Amino acid sequence: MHEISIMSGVIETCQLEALKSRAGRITRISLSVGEKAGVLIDSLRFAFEIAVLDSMAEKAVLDIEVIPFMGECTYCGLKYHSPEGSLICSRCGGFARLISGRELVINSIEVDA
Amino acid sequence: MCQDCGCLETDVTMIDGEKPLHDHHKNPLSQPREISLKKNILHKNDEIARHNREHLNREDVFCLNLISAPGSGKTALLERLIRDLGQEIPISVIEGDLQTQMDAERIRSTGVKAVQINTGSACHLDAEMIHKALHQLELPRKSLLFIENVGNMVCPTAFDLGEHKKIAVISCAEGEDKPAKYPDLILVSDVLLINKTDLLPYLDYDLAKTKAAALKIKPQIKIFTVSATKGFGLTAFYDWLKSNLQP
Repeated sequence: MHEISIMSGVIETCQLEALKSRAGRITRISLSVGEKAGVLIDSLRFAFEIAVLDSMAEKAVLDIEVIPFMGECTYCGLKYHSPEGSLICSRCGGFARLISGRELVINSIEVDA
Repeated sequence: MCQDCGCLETDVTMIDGEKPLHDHHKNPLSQPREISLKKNILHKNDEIARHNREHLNREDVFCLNLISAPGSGKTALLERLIRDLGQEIPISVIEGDLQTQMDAERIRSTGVKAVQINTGSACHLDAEMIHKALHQLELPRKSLLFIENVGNMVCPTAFDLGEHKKIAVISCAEGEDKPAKYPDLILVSDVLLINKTDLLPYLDYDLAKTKAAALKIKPQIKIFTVSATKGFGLTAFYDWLKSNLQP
């Protein structure tokens, strides 16, 4: 359940940014989360409900974009999607490097005056 | 009536002569606006982790973060390692547990410095906890620092502590499907230690299957099969540790 501490960090960062731009409240928070970032989307949503209480984001909507786990083979160059998170090329079996799928990013927030 | 605060929106004067003005009424036509952040959620943790790593690099300390399920033998492994290598290489330990000083006391009884972190209910260590613990340790140059994370195979994988390498520990008794079930741990780890190999004769366990499952996720991972209690296979692991201490 590290999703709760992750979400508290999200709200803290968003509040700071909202205050910097003299906003009154946060109406939307958009995140990008990698498919293999080690977090559960459902747990993040659950944690969000708790983390927003008594914050500027109390009525905010949470958008989560899931980024697929993608590898690029260092031998044949194939870019492939691996839902199970494997760094072995799905075509030739070569070693692959990670392109995406471990992100935990706050993309943007929407604020009200 | 205003939906936000319930006040009267019209230009009225209250009994005390004040106008019912709130910030959101000053500009009633203001539209929601978007602020682009593109900020890593764990940026705060990552900054502290970077600071920890710089500190360790300055002091020439090689730091390892041990991650596993509870009961895989992390503490037993450290006790054995300190007995075997302690005379040759200075070793320090940071222990993470929800509660109790038990593990730090086990380590201290081997004669090595250990700081216990109690996370309360948190399922992982974070960089800030390590930062505080580092201030309680005097680390000799060219020494090893082990961080024993809270027993959990999921949450600790998301938090960089400032270590140089992550080591996943899995024991044979846990079953051969562990790497496949916890790919995140394998993905972030540099080394996989398969512990409790002394139990193999009593288990219906296929060591080759575990190795293959781990290598399927991360072909670059280094695997050592060891027994912390009987000492099997530890020399190869020690050689790897020492190779990282070389100037």
